[in-house]
Amino acid sequence: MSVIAGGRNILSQFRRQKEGMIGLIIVVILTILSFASPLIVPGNSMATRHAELSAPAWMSVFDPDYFPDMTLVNATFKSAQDMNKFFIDTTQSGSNFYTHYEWVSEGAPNSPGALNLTIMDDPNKQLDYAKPEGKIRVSYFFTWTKNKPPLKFTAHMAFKLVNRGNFTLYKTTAYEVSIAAYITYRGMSGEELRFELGRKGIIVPPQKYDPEEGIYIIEPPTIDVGKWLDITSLLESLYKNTMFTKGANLEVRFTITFRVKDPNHRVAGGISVLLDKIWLKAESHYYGVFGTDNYGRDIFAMVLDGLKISLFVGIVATVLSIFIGGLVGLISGYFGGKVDEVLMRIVDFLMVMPGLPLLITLAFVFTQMGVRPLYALIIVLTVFGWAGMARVIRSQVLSLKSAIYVEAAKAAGASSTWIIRKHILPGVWPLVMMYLMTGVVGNILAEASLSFLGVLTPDWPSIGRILQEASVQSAGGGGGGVGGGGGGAFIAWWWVLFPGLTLTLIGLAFYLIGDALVKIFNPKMRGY
Amino acid sequence: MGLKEYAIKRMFTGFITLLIVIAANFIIFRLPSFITGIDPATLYGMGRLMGGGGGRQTDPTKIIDQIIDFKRRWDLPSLVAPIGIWFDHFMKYVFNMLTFNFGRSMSAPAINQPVVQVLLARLPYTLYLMVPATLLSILVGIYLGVKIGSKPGSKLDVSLMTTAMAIYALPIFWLQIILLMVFASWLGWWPVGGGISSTSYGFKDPLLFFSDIMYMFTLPILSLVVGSFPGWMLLMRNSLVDVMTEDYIMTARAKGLDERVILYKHAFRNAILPVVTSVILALAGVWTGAIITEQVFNIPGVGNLFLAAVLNDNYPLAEMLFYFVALTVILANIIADISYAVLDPRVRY
Repeated sequence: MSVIAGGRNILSQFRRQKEGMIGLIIVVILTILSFASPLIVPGNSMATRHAELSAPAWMSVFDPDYFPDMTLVNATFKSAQDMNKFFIDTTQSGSNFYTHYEWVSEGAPNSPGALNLTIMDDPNKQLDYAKPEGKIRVSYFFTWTKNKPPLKFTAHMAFKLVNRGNFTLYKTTAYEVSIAAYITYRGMSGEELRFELGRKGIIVPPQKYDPEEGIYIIEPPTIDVGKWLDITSLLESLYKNTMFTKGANLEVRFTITFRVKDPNHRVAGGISVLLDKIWLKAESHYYGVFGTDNYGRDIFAMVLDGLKISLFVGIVATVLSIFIGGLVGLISGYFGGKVDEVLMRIVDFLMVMPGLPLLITLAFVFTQMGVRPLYALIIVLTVFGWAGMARVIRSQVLSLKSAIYVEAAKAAGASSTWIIRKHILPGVWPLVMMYLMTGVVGNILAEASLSFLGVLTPDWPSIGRILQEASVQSAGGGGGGVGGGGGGAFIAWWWVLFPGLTLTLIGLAFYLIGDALVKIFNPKMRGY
Repeated sequence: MGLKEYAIKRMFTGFITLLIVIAANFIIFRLPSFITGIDPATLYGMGRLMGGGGGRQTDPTKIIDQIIDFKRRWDLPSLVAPIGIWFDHFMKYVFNMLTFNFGRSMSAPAINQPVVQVLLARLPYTLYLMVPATLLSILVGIYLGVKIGSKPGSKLDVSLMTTAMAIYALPIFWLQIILLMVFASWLGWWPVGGGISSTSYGFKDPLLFFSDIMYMFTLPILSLVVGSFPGWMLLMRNSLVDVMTEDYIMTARAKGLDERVILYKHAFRNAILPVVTSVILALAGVWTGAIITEQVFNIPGVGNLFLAAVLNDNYPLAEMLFYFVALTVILANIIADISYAVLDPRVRY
């Protein structure tokens, strides 16, 4: 029986093993999923995608108060019509200020137009000391109709500041400019709650007094003139949960303030602020197949990426160690003598060293030598994986060698290579296949454990690392991260459950295949 | 070859392996220093400069004095010393290892303490964790293994075997995080942080101390039992299945003996032999602890010590721990083989 014919025979027998086929199908599906991850969940898996700690999307079935992600407003100012979505208030300025708003066709990148707000001071007019500032408010009013607050509320606007007349930002020190976003809640009995969502404010000149050091610190300007900038901000959960009650009247307001700081050095001029891409988003409590973690990353995308690494490490390290172990076992078992003695002492040595601490030490050594941690890990897993394999193959070769048909072949004058190829290898082959399956699981788990312990600082997406972050950051236990500790809430069970479940599934699938192979190769086991 | 010669041969090869381990330990733990060019003395000096361990030292000349003192105390040759000095150092080290003279801890944890003491301080917690876990998993495994091994192919057999495979495939730390999540965080039966309850340090009464430790270690022990009973179950089952196909079992059946008598008087006694070997090996490994379990549950045991030793370049500690592991594994293997030969007279060498 040649190796190839044996392989064909195995395939036809394998099809009759139900559990083995299930295992094979799971492995194939998970492999395809992990390699198709750019299509299924496009984009960088390490990027924030949705509200932090969103539950898996299918969980929404059980939630009577479910609502999808909502974009409350999304204004790109295609035309002047878009201005009507907002209430623009120019009446809050002092009497010496000129305020004006209009639609302009010059928008932020990829946007056809913008809302242009202009505030100018007229030094010929007496300064209105009661209101020494020019102000324009752009408000969006809405009512929250859902039963529970959104998981995340984000407000965004793009703006560009342009100098007008004799005013030059950062050079004319008589004025202060600030651009800010607020959210206001108005209750039934007229109570108000206001929260500042974000601010790009400046004090002119951009200096700040530091009382501890007793010096002025020059602050870098926070607004670049003539450039499109963003304010993206989210509402703190305490405010969010208070404000977003059912039927609450809410207002999101963007305020442009142009304030006189030094009444003696007023100039004829001011600012124009172009507003664009105003959007308000209320994100639902549900996202993705496996939900999101505490950075809002899609756990499903991370698991698929991690699975790719798991499979890569598991298969490459196992194939390498089986190759080395098989070769050593074959040489050791077939030729015996001094070679056998030396090789077996090396094997003994590798088998009595404590595995995990040694893996950590050597992986660290390789990383220090400039090897990428992932390759270091594969090298180390190989160095330690082959010993057990060599011992198993050796004893198999020893028992095959003493078989009568081998003796007969020797007596007939067959060469060593011929005997190995025709008689020894076909007997070793089943063992190799079985150990391939169990070895892959062992190496996948070893990679996960090392990433979980956090001593390697993996630079690859690893399921072990997801679990480490889950246990350290949401959970307590101090799992992973040497010396880690502290309490936690364990609110996001999906963050813990699914990554581990995926690892278990792929491991179980490999075991099922291996088990089926055992039954094929070892007829005594059939029927059990 | 008689049993005596076999034992002598095994002890000889075991000693050779031990010498390889001693030599390898010397190289492995010093490799990071040679690659980075930073030896523990320099690390210590840098630590003093940063203000770790006994106050901040800013005077550079004093730090250099301290580095020299550190090198003298731990007898560290310079990394660029000639090969002869390193060889002398190596020979001294081998002699120390063989005479069980392990020296003092070089860095965290427990700097300056004799490493044997450092180990002994951690040992009780690891034993409290590992002894019950190992014994329980062996008992559960043997019980279930006999149950399914006597009826291979039954529904219970198939479902337990599949469960065993699933448990083999799952990362144990994941199971532990889930246990913590459900029982510690949601139900609040245990503190989420794990560890040892602070009150247990204050208990003078050994019984109170022990019961407190056992309460705190319930989840880790449970997870370890779940994680390792399938191995024992599989071993017991396969051994029993093998024995049940032997001719003398058929003879016993032919005699019309009760199936229970056959199982326990004839089959079990023979099938337990390979299990006994593994039990000896497992009990020898009990003291080394469980690195991941101790990390997840914050247990200050030997497993944590391993991690701390290799991460802090603590040569004396790491060398002692690795040496002891090799020693116990080698001895346990010899004892297991010899006891197998004693228990099973069929074994010949």
